[in-house]
Amino acid sequence: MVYGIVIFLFAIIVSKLFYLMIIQHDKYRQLADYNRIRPVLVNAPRGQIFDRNGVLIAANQSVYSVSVVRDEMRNEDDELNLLAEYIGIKREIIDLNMKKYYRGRFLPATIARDVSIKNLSLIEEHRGDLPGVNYSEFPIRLYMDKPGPQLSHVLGYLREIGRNELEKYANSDYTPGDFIGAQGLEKQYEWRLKGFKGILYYQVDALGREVGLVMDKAPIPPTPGEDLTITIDSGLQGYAEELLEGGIGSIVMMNASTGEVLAMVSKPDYVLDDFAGFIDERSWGEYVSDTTKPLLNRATLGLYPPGSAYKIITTIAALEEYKVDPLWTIECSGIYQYGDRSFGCWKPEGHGTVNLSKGLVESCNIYFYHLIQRMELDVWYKYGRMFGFDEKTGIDLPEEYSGIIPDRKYMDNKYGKHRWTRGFLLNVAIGQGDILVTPLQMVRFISMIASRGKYIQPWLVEPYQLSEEEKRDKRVNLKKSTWDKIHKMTFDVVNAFNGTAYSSRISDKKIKFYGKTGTAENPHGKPHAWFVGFAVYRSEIVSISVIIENGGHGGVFAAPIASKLIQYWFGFGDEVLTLQ
Amino acid sequence: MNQFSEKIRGIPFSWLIIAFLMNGLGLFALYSTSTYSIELSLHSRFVKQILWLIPSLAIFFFLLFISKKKIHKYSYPIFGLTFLVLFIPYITGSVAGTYRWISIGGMNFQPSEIIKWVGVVALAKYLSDYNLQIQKIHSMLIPIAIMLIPTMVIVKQPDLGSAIIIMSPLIPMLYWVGAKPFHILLLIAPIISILTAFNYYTFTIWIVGLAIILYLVRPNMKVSLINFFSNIFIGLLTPFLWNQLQPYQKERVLVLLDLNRDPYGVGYQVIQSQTAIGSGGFWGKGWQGGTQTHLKFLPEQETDFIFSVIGEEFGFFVVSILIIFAIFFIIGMIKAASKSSERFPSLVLIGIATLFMAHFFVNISMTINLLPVKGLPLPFLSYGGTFLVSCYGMLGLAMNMSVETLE
Repeated sequence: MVYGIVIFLFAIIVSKLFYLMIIQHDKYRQLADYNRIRPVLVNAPRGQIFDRNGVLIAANQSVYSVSVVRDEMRNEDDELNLLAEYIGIKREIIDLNMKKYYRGRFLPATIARDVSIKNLSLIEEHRGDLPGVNYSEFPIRLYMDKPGPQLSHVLGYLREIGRNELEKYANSDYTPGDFIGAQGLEKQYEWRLKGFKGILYYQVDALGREVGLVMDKAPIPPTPGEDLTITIDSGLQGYAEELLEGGIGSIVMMNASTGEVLAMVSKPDYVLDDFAGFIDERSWGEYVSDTTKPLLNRATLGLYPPGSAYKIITTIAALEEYKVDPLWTIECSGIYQYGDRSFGCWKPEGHGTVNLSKGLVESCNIYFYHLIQRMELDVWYKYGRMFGFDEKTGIDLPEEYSGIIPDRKYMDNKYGKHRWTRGFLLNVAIGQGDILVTPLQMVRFISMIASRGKYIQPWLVEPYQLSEEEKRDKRVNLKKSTWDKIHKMTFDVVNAFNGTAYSSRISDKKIKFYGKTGTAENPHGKPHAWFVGFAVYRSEIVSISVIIENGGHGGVFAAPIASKLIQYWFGFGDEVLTLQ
Repeated sequence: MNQFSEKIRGIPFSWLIIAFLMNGLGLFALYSTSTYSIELSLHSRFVKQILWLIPSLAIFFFLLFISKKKIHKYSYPIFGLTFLVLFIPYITGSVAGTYRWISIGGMNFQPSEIIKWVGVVALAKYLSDYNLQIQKIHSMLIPIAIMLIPTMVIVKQPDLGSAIIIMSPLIPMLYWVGAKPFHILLLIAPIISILTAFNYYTFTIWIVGLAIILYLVRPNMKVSLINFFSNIFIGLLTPFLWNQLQPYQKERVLVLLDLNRDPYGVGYQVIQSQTAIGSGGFWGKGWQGGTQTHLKFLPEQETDFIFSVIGEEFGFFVVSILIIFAIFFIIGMIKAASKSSERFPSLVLIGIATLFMAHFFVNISMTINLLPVKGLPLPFLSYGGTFLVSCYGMLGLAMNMSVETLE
C-alpha cells in the first residue's frame, strides 16, 4: 500500500507532464514563441513616379525620427529638455508625441520626426548625456528639384493614416504613423504604390527588451511598391504652371486622339515638399483657410459656366436638327429684348448682320438667342451629353465633378413645372445660367470635336478600357457637313481676322490651330476667361482648355496661353508670339 | 575493522549514484540559467553550488559512518540545539524581509532545512522508545508537539513551504509505528475540516462522512462527540482565520483554483513554468536552448523552478528518467525500512523517504499547476547551499540506517 501511494502520486505528475509536453506541446510551443518573438514591420519603399519621358518626379528619401525608451533614461525631464533643444522643437510637442506613441516602459516611443542630419549629429555628439535615446529612418517622398513642375494636384500628397482608415483597412499592413495617399494619384494608386511591409523577428526578453534577431525564423523582406509612369510631360507641365503663375485657374492639355493628359495645372497650388514629411499644423492651417483654395484641383473639381465656348454645342445641335440655314441671318444691335427683359451682346455696339458662321467666329450672343428659340431644351441637352457633359470623364483621379447641363426635368425640378419660360434658354444657349462644367470636361469635349466624334477618355496612368460596343455607342456620329462646318468655324476663330482669338494665331502654318473663346459672366467680379482648342501638326492632335478665374476676355487672356503651350509642345517654342 | 568492511558491503551505493546523477543534471541546468553572462567566478551560482558540495559530502560521510547508536543517543540534544538556531535570525536581523537565513560571511544559511530531518530523527527516537503506548490517541500528543513546535517558528519566519514539509513525516511515521488508522484520521480530521470549510457542500459532505465513520468505528461516546463538534467548530472558524492570512498567501492558494485570474501576478510564474515545460516537448529544446529560461520569462529558475528548466531544455524523456530515479530512490528507502529489524533506523528511513517524497512531489506539482506555489526546492537539483547539505545529510543518514549492523 505504501508503494502504491508513492507510485500513484508520481503517476499523477507524469500524466500531467505527458499532457503538457506531448499532447499540448504545440500550444505551449506557440505560447513560448509568442513570449519571445516580436515581429517588427519593415517599411516597403513606395513606388516611384516617372513622367512620360522617364523623368523621375517623385522618389523616396529617408528622414530620421527620434525615439526614447523610458526605462533607459536616467532623468527623463532633463533629457527631454535637452532633446527639445538639440532637435529644435518645443518641449510641449515632445510631450504630446510621448503621449501619442508611448507603448510601454521598455519600448521606444517616437518623440520627434523629420529630424535633420544636422540636429541628429547634435544628439550623436551628446550621446553620453542621453541614455535611452535612439533614432530610426523613416521613408518620405522626395520630389523633383525646383524649378520644375509642382504637379501638386496630379500627384497629390500623403498624410499620416487616420484611425478610421486603420479600421477600414484592418486586413492590410498599415500601422499607426504610416503614410497613405490622401489626394491625386497617390490616393488613386495607393494599392499599387504602397508595396508590402516586411517583417523582422526580434527576440525579446521577459522585460520586453530586444536582444537580437530570432535565428530560427527567417525574416520576410518587404515588397517594394510598384513604380508608376504617368502621361504628364514634365517640361510642358512646368511651362504651363509658369504661364498660369499668379493667376487663379486651370489648364488641361491632352493628346486628342488617345486621351493622354499631357499637362494638368490648377492654380494656386501647393508645395508638395510641405507635405512630404510631417506637415506642421500652422502650414496646414494656412492651406486650409486660404480663400483661393490651393488644395482644390480646379481641373476636375472646379465648376464654371463654360460661356461662349459652349456655343459650339448649340451650333452642332442646330445643324444636326436642321434648325438653321447657314444663310439665315439676324441683326445684332448689341441688345436683345425678350419679353420684358433685355439681353446684351458682349459687343455693345453690335455685330450688325450675323449668319451662323459669323455668330460663332465672332461669338455673337444675339444670334444664339434667336437660334435657341427654334429648339427644344431636351434636344439641345442631348448634344451636350454626347460630348461628355453632365457626367464624369472617368479620369484615374480620386475625385471629380460631373457638372450640370440642364434638361427639361432639371428645370422642372429646380423651378417647378411651367414655372420657367423659354427665356431661361437664352442664357444656356451661350453657356451661361444653369450650366456648369469642369476644365477637364471641356478639354475632352474639344478633343472629340478634333477627332470628329471619337469617344475620348482622359487618363494619367491607365486608360479605362472600353469594349468595342461601348466605343461604338459612345461615338458621336454627326453629318460630315456638320464636322466640316464646325472645323471651319473653329479654325476661323483663331485664324480669321475677325475671329475672337485672332491675336493668338500661330504664324507657322504647318500647325493648324482651332479653338473657341469664352467669357463667362459671373456675379463675383470680372468674367472668367476661357479658351478651348486643338491643334494638328503632322498627324498629332493635341487639345487644350484654359480657364482663368475673373481673368476677363477669353480671347485676350486665355487664348494666348493655349497658343504658347501648343507651340511649345510642337517644338516651336522659340517663335512664341509675344502679344499682350 | 571487520565490522566496518561489513558495513561498507551493506551500503546501498546505488542511492549515491542516483543522487550524483540528479546533482549533475541540476548543475547542467544551473549552468544553463547563468549563460547570459557566464563568469565562472566565486560569485556565480554554478561555482557556488559546486563549492557547497564540499560541506555536503563531508556531512554525508560523517552521517554515513557514525554509529547508529551515537545518532540515537545525541538526537535530542541536537534537535534542541537546531531548534535554538531557528531563533538566531531574529537576533541577527532579517534577510530580504524574512527571518529564514543566517548570514555568515556572505553565505546564507537556512536552519529550517536542517530541522526537517533532525526533527525526523528525534521523532524516530521518541517513537521507538515508547512504541507500546502508541495505541492510545493521547500518546500521539508528544510526537505531534515535537514536529509542531518548530513548525510554528518556521511559519512565523515566514516560510509556509518548509512548515508544511516539516509536518509531512509525522503521519507516515505514526502509521509505521503502528498507530491506528482511525486515530490518524482523527489527527488529520481538523485539516480536512479546514480545507472543506470554504464550500458549503464539501463541508457538509465531510461532516456527514465523519459522523458515519465515528458511528461505524464506535469509540467511546465522549471522544466521538468531542471530535465531531470540534471539527465543526474548526470548520466554521476557518473562513474567519482565512481573512487573517497575508494577501500573498491567499493569492498562492487562489491561483491554483483559477490559473488566469492574475496573469502577471503570482499566476504569471505558473503560466510561464507550464509554458516552459510544455514547449519542451519530448526531446526538449536542447541544453542552453530554452527560450523561456534564457529570456527570463521563467521566474526563480535556479531554485524553485529548476524542474521547468530541465523540462524545457531536456524534454519529457529526461524528465521521465528523473522521476523514475526519484521513485527508485524513495521506494528503495521504504523497502530498507521494512527490512530493518530495529525500530529506530526503520522510522528514520520512513521519515527521510517522506521528506524526499514531499519535496519531489510538491516541487514538481507546483511547476505544473497541480499545487499552489509554495517556494520549495527540488532535492539535489535546486540551487541552494543549506538545502544541498541537507539532502546529502539525509542521504548519508538513510544509507547508514539501511545497513543492518550488529551493534
